[in-house]
Amino acid sequence: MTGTVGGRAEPAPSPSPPPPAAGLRRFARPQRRPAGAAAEERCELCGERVGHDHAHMVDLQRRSIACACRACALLFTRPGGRYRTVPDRVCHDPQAPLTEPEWAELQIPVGIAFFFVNSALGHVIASYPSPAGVTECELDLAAWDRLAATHPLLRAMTPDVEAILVVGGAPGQAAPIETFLVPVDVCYSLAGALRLEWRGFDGGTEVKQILADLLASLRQRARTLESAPG
Amino acid sequence: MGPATSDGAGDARDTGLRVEALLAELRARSGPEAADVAEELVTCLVRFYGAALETIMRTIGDDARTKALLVADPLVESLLLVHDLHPLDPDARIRRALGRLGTGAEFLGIDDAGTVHVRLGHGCGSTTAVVEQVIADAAPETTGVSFAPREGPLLQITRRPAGAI
Repeated sequence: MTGTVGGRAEPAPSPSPPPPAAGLRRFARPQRRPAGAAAEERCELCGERVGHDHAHMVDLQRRSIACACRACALLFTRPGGRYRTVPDRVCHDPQAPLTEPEWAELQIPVGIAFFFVNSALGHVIASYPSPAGVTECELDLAAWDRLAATHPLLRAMTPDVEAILVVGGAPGQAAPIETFLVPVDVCYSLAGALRLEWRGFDGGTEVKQILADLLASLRQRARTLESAPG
Repeated sequence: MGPATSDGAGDARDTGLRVEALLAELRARSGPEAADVAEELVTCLVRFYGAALETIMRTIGDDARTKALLVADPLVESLLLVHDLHPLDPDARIRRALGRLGTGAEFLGIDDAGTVHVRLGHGCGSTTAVVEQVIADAAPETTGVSFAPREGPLLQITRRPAGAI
């Protein structure tokens, strides 16, 4: 046994998928998963394995988001019932963009916020991503209604499963405000990514990059509101 | 594995093995979803204690005496290793562990890939398996052990090409 590279092997390897070699160490630090090599995910309704790029359903009872296989996602596209599949359309409305004074009326002091209709409560909820996860903020519902009256995009979202994402609304931002109608899971995955990568006071470069990447992909995916189905 | 356990890393290792065995049992009995939740649960607890340990070590600061006392306890030492908080660097830990083994195994270095290069000594406890275990316990952040030939010219430690020794 000379000149060999010995890998690690524990005396009693368990049959479970994670490598037993690391012992407790594997729990002690966050495991950075390279993109595309995410852990195996399963449909939370039927247990079927799903790929990296799978659909999500909103569980209206638990107010949570569940991973869905294609078959289950197709089953729950109609309203009514506990689960509702998140659609995948992205819309914007170049005809009626949000202006800074309009945004200021909502009095939301952050640069990224999203809005969705909670059908159980029957009104719009405003939230924003933060290092602590998704944080709900007070929303002046009358101000929202005034804004929605002149911006069809804000009225176009499907309750629970779609959201309005507003980026660049913080005072003093150089770039204009961008507003998209997005699948609600986009907001939660953005919030999750930001929470994971948040460093220091303003989030750091990683966070800025995540946001820039998301905006680039939304701009590419976005259809103008009129041509959007539904 | 007599020398390995007396080296002190046995406690965290035993706990780690027990946790893996329990997770495997849960996976077999209750399915992958339950096992995944349990994984997260263990992770949550380990990181919670780890974060507190880190603060404790930071509070101790440069107090070499306290650190030496802590590391002298096998249980505490193994826990510090789990969380990358051991006051000694991996080189020092490996040298110390090989010295305790007392078979003349020679530490040659750690390369960029995290592989530890060692030349085996002679006598009892100088098999590759024993040395690998001792090094894995003393420096769990390393990725493997490469053994240089016992006799012959000194091994040149270079950046190794992939797959080579």
